[in-house]
Amino acid sequence: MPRLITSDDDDLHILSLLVRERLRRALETVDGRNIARRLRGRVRLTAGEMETFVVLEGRTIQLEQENTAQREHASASGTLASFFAICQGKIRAMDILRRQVRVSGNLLLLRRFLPLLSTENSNEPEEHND
Amino acid sequence: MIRGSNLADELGGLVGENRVRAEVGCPQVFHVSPASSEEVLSVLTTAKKRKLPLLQRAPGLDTSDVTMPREGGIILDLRLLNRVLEIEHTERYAVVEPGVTWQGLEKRLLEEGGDLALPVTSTPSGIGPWTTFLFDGAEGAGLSLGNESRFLLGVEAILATGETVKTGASAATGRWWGRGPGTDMTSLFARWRGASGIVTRLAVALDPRPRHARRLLIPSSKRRLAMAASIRLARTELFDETHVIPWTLPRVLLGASRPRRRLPGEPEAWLAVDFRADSLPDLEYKRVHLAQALSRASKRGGRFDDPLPLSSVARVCPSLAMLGDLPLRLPEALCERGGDTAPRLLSCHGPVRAMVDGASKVDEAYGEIGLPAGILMRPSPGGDHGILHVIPPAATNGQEDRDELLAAERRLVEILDAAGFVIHRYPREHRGLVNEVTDEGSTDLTIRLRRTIDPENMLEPTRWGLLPP
Repeated sequence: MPRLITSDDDDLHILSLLVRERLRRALETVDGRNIARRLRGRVRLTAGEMETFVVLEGRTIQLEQENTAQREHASASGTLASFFAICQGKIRAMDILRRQVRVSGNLLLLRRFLPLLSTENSNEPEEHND
Repeated sequence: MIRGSNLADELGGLVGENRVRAEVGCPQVFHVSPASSEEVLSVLTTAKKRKLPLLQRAPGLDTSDVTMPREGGIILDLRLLNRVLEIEHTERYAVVEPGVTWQGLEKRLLEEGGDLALPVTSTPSGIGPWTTFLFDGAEGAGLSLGNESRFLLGVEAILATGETVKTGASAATGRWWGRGPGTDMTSLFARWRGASGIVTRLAVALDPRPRHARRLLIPSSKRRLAMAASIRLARTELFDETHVIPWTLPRVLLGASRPRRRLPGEPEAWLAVDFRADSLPDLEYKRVHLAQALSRASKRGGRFDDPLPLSSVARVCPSLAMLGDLPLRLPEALCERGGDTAPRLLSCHGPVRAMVDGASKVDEAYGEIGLPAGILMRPSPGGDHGILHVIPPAATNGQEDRDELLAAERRLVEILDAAGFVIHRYPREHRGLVNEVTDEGSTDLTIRLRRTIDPENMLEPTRWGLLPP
């Protein structure tokens, strides 16, 4: 199961805490773990003026708040309300065309990653270990 | 005085052995759970005969400022009195027992399928009208409640003397449609926190059930801005609830135990707004007022982010669902997470314009010792004054940590008093201090009234620093 790595809870802002909560829930599901294992790259999420970087490395997912020199492969930005819409799977192509959510970079990576944030735990049985 | 096991036997004989238990670590104190008014009266009679103090408990009651006398006593747990006795659809009220929660009453209203709704927008699982009206006071619980005079229509209570009295219209007519006519005796029980009698039933006014409701959380870059908007909304008298939650509380609910500082770009506060309407045009009218209040408040600098429906927030992050239970469920919010068994809450009323500065003083006081407190600010109904709720942090690192915490709180109480705040709920450790800063004449009058009603000082004896019987 991919491992979620974050810094100290007290140093995470509300967006990072929300992303962490969503990723934790996703990793509790078979679908979520399968998606996470296949993803590689650095995704920047922006809500209002907060930024969180999700570094996907197959076996680990790391949350970073600092904008290191490393360039992100994809990014999605909007308001906190847009973030909640993404987490409910409510973002449609029209929202992107209207620039309510701005996306850039590797859109294929983003298309695969964003569903992780909207994955719900339906008490699925534990899958086999890696 | 006869105490000990034969008291347990006697109490067991009155309500059943399985409904009597001794307090852990304090065998002189017995918890008794009566299930009817008759049983309440018989327990009271026993307590009177043995000169034992009687403390009342009901769902969700914050007991942080109450101390059981060392000599022992009886804790009257009223949670088994949990029947909704009557729902009157034409005159729009419900008569309930102390153990009925807001959630239980809402369930019953939905089962009956009528067009009545609760006067509150949040229905936390553990709080009921008894606690809200008789202990906490409606002003702090929800903007839509106004104060108790509108929604608490009357009570039936057993006095310390053993007499049963009714207040409100019910005293004359047997129906509970209002407080009057005549002298408003219901006020003798509202907010007296059980010290004037044991209320065994109370009548709660109900609202027509609105067809549309919105509950929103609006991130704000400045808490002064959020509070300014909240005051504007309260003054329109169109909204059911509005309050401001500083940045710390959502972070704590999401797992941060001691968030030390707000991080760049993070909202400084969250403005919570509830409104209901019977038609879409009415809902839109309120939405426009909300947009205007946000826009006018923003002219002073800062900004609001797009509103988030509370239902979405709760769906995406269930741990944030508790924000929807505020302010009714305030003291329990953090204690549940922190594992603290005794909820502690410091609440004060004060000048509405001083709320943000008051909250900053709270931040400073607890910040000095590195323990952030949970804060909730709200205007009173009509926006005339403000209410500041503070959930003190739990001291986790032993006695030294705890001493430091109490010292910081003592300083805070003095600072808030100097800034014009009236502290009405406080952790029990500060009882002496809070009494010192309360007007002497007012305290004296309360005590004199109290002595007239309960000459032996049996009910909630430690309130106002009085001696038990």
